[in-house]
Amino acid sequence: MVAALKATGVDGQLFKRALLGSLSWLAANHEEVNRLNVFPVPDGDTGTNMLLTLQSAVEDVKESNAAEVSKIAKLASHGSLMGARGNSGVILSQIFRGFARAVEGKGSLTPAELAAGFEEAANAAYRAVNKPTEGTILTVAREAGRAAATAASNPDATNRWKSRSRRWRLSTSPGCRSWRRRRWRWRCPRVDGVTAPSF
Amino acid sequence: MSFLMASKTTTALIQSRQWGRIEVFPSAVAAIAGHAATRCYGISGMAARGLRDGFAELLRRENVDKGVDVVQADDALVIDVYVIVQYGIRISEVAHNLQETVKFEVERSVNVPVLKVNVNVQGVREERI
Repeated sequence: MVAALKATGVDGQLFKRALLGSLSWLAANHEEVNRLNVFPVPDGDTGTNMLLTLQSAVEDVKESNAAEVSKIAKLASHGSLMGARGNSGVILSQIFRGFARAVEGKGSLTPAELAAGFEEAANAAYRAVNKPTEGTILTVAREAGRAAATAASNPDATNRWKSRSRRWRLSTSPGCRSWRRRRWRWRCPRVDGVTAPSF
Repeated sequence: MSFLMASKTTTALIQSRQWGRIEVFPSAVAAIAGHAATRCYGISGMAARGLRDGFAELLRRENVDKGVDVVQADDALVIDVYVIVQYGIRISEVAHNLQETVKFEVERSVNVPVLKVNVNVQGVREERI
């Protein structure tokens, strides 16, 4: 994927594939996310809510063959807004909304534009709440945006997810035990040196 | 079910314990509910009960309890919250999350069952950029 990204940038179809891929990752790991759920109500449904929201987003995207990334992002934004479930779902829909707004009118994205999109997505998610609680999905979105920006400006730094400080920040999540004690439990395959966050 | 309309400032929740009684006044419950509500995702802030000149007014931090009505019904509480939500979100879902959060926070802090949380969306606000 990284190779494709370097060659052509992120167009609509690549972004669509990324969405489909993230749906299957979340489907495989949503139980793990459920277990992390302690805020605001520890009812253990965060992962399921997120999965349902993402499913609704992908439902709209699946039919489209649009080559422009902005069109796919808009469809995902609309689908996730309509299918938002629970707190995490509502936040996810805001993340998609921010991303769609950031890439508006663009056919394909350079790595820097993609990173800017991620950062704007996190900003949009932060704006919709009066008192953001750190250590929630909001923190994850912001750190993902920062990591993407670092990676975009320095292609050799794609593995920054593993950096200690970032892991520390993510592990301050209300439900997270010390990261030292947490094993690498996300069953995510390595994709060209990009690894999933362990939090 | 007979609703005992408690007047807002006088009747407290009273629990008798070994060393004396514990009273929690509705205004305290309202403050807890108000702070829980303002921390909810998608909520812009609390609004004063009832519209003033047809406009919903955002309450400042120190009087969020003015946007909450607490009524005692038998041994449970019925809470009305008046909020202003953010533009561009699914209001039904945010309201549902708000109900869950307020119920959970109030039950956890004062240990009295919450029968209902009624959400009144008084306005929608465009996010500040």
